[in-house]
Amino acid sequence: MFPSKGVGGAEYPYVLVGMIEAWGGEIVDYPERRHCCGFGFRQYFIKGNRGYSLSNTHKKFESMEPFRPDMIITNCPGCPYFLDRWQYVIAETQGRTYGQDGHGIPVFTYEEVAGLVMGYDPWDLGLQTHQVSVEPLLDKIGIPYDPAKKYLAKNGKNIGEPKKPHCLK
Amino acid sequence: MKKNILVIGGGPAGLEAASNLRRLGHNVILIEKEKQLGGHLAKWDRLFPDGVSAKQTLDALKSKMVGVNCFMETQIQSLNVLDRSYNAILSNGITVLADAVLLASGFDLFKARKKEEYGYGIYEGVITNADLEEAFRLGRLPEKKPQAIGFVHCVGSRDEKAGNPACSKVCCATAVKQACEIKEVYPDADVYCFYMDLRMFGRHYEDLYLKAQKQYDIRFIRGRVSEVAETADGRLQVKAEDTLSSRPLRVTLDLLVLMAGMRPSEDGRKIGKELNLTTEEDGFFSSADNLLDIQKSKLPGVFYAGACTGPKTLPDTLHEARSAALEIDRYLTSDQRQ
Repeated sequence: MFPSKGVGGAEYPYVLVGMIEAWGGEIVDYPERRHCCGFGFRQYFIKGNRGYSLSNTHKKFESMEPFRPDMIITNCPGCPYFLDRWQYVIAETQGRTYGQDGHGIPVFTYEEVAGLVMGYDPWDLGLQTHQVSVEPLLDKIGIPYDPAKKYLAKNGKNIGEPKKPHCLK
Repeated sequence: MKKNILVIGGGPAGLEAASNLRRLGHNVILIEKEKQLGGHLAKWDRLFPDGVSAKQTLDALKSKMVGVNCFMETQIQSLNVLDRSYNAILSNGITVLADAVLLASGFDLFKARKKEEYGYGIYEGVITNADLEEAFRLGRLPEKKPQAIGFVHCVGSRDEKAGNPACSKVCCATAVKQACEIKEVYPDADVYCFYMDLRMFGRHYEDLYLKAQKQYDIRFIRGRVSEVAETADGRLQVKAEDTLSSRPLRVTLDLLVLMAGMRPSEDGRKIGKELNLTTEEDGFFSSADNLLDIQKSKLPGVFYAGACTGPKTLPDTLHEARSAALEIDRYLTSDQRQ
């Protein structure tokens, strides 16, 4: 809205890229970076459109896979929700997983990554709700966490584990 | 008494006007901001439509410059209107009292990096028409054979978003010329031209277009390029529209040439400000009359030739230069001069 206060150009946005650079990451510029993830909230929630919605996600994953990214970072929380959950759907329907060793690529909003970088405990940030397991990435970055506390609420009570999806580890 | 004429700009317009004015018996001082004469023509390889050597053409223009005082790497420091003449202080310290001034400041190339979605300055495989022409001239073409090459017409022209709704006139013919030339270097490559219209208005231009299709197998795709991105193996993924088959298309190329348009010269604009010369909405200078008196500015004694009043082909520029020389001569020798 205010071009003089903008970060980066209109067609080559720099906001997320700037964050990745500030946090010491390496940017993967893949061809479908501008493509919609397909969620569109209402688009997906209405059954008839689901195939089309999902095909957008599929397109993005196919495009980024040759670059072998370790993680995906997004702006709006809708995208990680979508990209995270539907790696499972694609794995089950197509037998295709995108991360290394069948793990899938973990997806985060920038708030979650900011929290991790600032030193918050991953389970306090709510990363246990991610369907694609984040542990391999946390190990790779070297963020300490306690696997035993994953499904424990703040007061120590077990909040219940989800049935593990059998396609993604 | 011989009259002094200050010619600002040593490109084809300035050179042709200066040599003609000299032949008419006047004293001509030409200033050029670069180290060498020729403007953009000095950086080109071959000219459309017949592939004539740019260097030979420039040499022909320069050979007529005997007797013209040329100052290289010189710019205008200040330019003032006096009673019947113009006082110019040059950057080399010399003062010129000119009875007439010819502005031949030409054009600047549109900065292609403004079209970020095309990736100029971001991806290595994206270059402009000027870069390609220089590569031809210096013999510096990529050694690794490109399998697919694309040309994008109208970059920075006919584009409201880029701030220039006007057509830059020469880019279509240049694109077709360069497409044929690059196909000659890499005959196995697929060469695409992404165009909106093909402006082949001049003599022999249509022949060049037909030759490009029949003999060189250039693929002309009518549609705009929407975005360019780099694939994992360093090639360029280009998304465009094919309006003739009504489909979006995606093609992977190794080299993409952006036909950057003509914009008014920034340095020329600064000089125009010294004299309060008016420009039109497209940023180029406004003439006294666009049909009958395009060479005259609205100031008596200040004249225009070449691309400073809008995109021109090389022959147009030379015609204007000769016409400006005649107008200046008439102005200087008539009794009606106020």
